[in-house]
Amino acid sequence: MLPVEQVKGIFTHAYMRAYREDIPVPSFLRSFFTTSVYETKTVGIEVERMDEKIAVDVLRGTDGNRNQFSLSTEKQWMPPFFNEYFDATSLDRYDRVFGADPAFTPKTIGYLATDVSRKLIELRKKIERAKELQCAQVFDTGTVVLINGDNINFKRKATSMVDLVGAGGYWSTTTTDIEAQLIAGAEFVRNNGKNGTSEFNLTMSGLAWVALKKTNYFKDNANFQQVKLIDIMMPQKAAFGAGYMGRISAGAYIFNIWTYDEVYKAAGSGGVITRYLPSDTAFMAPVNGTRFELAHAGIPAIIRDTTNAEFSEYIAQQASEYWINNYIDYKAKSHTFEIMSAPLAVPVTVDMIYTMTVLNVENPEIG
Amino acid sequence: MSEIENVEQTRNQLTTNYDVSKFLLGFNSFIDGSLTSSGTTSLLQGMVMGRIDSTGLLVPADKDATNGSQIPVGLCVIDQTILDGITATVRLVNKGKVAESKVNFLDVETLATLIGPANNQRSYRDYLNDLGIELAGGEELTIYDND
Repeated sequence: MLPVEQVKGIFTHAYMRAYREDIPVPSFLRSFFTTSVYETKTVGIEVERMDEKIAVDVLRGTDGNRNQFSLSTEKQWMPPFFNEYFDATSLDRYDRVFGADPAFTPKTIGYLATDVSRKLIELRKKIERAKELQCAQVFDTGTVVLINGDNINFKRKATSMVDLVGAGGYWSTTTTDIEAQLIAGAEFVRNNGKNGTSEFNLTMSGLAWVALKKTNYFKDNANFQQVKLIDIMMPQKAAFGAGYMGRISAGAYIFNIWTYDEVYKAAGSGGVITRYLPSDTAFMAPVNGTRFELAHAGIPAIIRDTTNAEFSEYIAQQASEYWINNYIDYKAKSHTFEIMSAPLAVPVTVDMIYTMTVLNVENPEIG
Repeated sequence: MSEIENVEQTRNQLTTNYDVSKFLLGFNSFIDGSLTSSGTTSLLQGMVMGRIDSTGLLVPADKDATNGSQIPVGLCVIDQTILDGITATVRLVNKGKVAESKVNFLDVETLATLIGPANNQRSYRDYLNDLGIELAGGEELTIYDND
């Protein structure tokens, strides 16, 4: 018999609508990277950096100038591995599909699949946030931080990460020569990254943008143009998480300004709402010629092949951005669904990033 | 000789620098000699070697020596480590074209170091030229990635 309180609700209470929060994951920083997948456990690059020497004339009849191409660097990484899972038997729907529910129909199985996929999408979002954070760390410090591994340092040059307090002053001072600071960044990319593109994406926090707009440089010289987002034909346009603020020029260079204030909740109990990029940081990268890769190493997948008499199940490395396994633990009576990924944000053209500390308010966390 | 060096090695990262530059560039001839090591002797490819007049044994060239070994007779062909008391065969290149950037000395000498009597001093470069060793310059156009 139903309790009277439960029955009463049918007549006195109506559920207007269900709301399941669907939090989008920022993709702006990932939009600078090209996604690639590999079957192997480690990934790597071979790099032959070129000097930029010029030919000199020689006397006819003498030997020419002997040149050699001897030096190269190989870099190998084992990307961090992410594995997020949940137990599907914790879903009420599971009991109705495979349990005592007499209405065991394709429709109810479909409901279960929907429930499971919704949960897996949430787990995938966790990993997507980790990828976005990797990209942020590449642009901020050049080091991807691992919790259960050794940090991966891409060895950005120290001169590519400049605290402006010692290079002309912070943007909070209205008289700071910001044009010279932006030119210095562009020239670093030109001289060290060997990239002659004159157009850059300049990403900063809203706080930095506010400070920049109050400077004399901006008011007097910035040549601020009302470029609409529709005019911008870059991957960043379609990405989520940053606002396009317009375009300024400095010296011979053009800068597309983006503000990025996205946050995530840090792992662990009592996770703090944390910025992907510190609010005192701005970075620039040329719009063309960069090679930033979001590489994915192989994922151990459970392969089921009922036609294989010897091994109907086996583990194989899969080249994939994500892979979903599901398996039953007979002892625990659990049905686990897991989603895995082994991503690493790799700045192949490592000297095509220039990062500035533009304010004296280090504020990696908010909330 | 190629050089391979791991400049970074952690659980998640391995960075290796490769140098495939050559020392011997052609038209070379070689001689063998013996070296009796006093202590451990580490010879590097391209090291300038002299010969002691009285024994005929090879030693790294030393500008201050007076036993004849201050005069170069060739350059080491490979890296070689010889332990204390051991007499080993050392192969030298004494003719042909070699990369000047690979020429080295055990001590402070350089190709410009002058040796010989005060009124007739000549540089190591002169002596190597006399042997028939052509020191080839050249420009390296590649650089390592950041490490």
